[in-house]
Amino acid sequence: MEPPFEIPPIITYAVPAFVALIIIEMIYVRVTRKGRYQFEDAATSLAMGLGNQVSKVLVGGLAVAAYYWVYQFRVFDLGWTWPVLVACFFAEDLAYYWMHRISHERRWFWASHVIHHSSQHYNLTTALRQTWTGVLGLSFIFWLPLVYIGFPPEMVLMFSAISLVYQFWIHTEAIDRLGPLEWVLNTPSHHRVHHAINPRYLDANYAGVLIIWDRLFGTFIPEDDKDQIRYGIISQLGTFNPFRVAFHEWAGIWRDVTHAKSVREVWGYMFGPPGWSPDGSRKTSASLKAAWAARQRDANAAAVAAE
Amino acid sequence: MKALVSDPWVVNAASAVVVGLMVGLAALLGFRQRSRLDRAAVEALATGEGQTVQDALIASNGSAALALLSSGALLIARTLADGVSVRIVSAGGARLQVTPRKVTIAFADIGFPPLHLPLKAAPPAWLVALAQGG
Repeated sequence: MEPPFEIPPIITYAVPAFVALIIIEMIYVRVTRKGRYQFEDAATSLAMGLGNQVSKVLVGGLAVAAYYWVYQFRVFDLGWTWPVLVACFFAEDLAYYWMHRISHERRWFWASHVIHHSSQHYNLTTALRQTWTGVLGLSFIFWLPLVYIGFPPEMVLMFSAISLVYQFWIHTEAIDRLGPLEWVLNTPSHHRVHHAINPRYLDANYAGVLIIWDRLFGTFIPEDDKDQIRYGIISQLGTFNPFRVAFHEWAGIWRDVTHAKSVREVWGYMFGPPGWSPDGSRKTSASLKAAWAARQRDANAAAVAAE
Repeated sequence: MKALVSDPWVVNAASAVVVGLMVGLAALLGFRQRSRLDRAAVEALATGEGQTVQDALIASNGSAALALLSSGALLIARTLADGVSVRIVSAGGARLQVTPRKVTIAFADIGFPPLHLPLKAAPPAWLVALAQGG
C-alpha cells in the first residue's frame, strides 16, 4: 500500500540543522569550557559520517530490497492509519533497542557499531561518526520482523530516519538533566552513560528514542555525577585514519577466525561477545564489570573493617 | 532545489564541502590541544592496570612511550591529539624491531598502527633481549 503523503528525505533535510547545532556547540564549548572538541577527532567523525552516507548510496538499496521482499509475505495488511503509525513508532523503537543491544553483545554486529564509539570525545560530531559497513554487516535484519508483521516498509524507513535524527542532539555534554523527560526519553545524560567506558556503565542504555526499553529489560543505568565519564572503547584506537577506523574490527575478526583451531572458536570469534577468546584471556564487558564489582566489594569490606 | 536534494551524489559532495568548513572552524576556534606523555603519566597508566613500571622509554616530544611492567608485560602508549591510546601486551604480543636509533613496535591490530620511538641513547638490555625473542 502506497503512503498517503510524500515522505520527505528526512535525514537530508535535517543536515542543515546538524551543521548549525554543531557550530553552536563548538562556540558554546569554546566560551564555557563545558564539553570537549578536538579538530582532528571532529574531522574523523565527520569523515565517517560522510562515508556512511556514501555507503548507503552504494549498498543501502540491499536493505530496502530485503524489506520489500519480506513484505510480500506479510501476515497483516496494516496500511497507513493513525493507530498503525503510533504502533510502528513503538515497534521501530523496540527493534532499534534490540539491534543496538545485540550490536554491543555480539562481535559480528559490534564490528560495524564500534566505529560510533571509537571517539574519546563526546559531542555532536560523535553522533555522525557512523559505520561504513552497517548494511553489509546485516544490521537491517532487526527491522525485518516489522515488515513481516505488515508495517509498510516506507513507514518503517520513515521512523528509522526520525529515530536517527532524534539521536543526533543527545550526543552532547552541554546539556545536563531534563527533569521528568529523563523517565521516558533517551536524553544526553542517558546516552553519555551509553558511551562511557567506566566499567560500571558498560553495556547500558541502548535506547533509541524511548528509554523505557532499558528500564523494562534491565539495562538502564543512570548517570552518576561522582563518577566522571571516560569515553571511547576499551582498546582505544591509535589512529584518526578513517579507513583504519572503519575496518579495524573486521580485520580483527578475520585475523582471529583464520587462526581459529576449531568450529567452536570460529563461532566464538564471530558471534561471541566482543573480547571473547577461547581461554578467556581477553577482556569482555562482563569480565570488566565483574572485576570492577569485586574491587568495589573489597573496598567496601576494607572500609567496614577500618571502622 | 528539490531535484538537487534528491541526487545523493550532489548531497554528498555538498556535505564534503561543509565538513571541510566545520573542521576548519574547529581548528580556528583553537581545538588543537595535545596530550603529552611523561614518566608520571606512564606510571599512572600502569597503576590503572594494577601494575608498576620497571623501566620506560618516552619520546622526547611526549607523543609515545614504551614501558616494561612489573609483570614482564609491555605497556605501549601513544597520544592521539588530546587523548591517549594504550596497549598492554605480553612480551610476544607485539613485533619489536630495535636499531641503535629507534624502536618500532607493530601490532596485528590495524586500529593501532606501528609505533616508532626514537632512541636518544643505546637501547636498554631488556628491550634488546625482548626484540631477540628473549
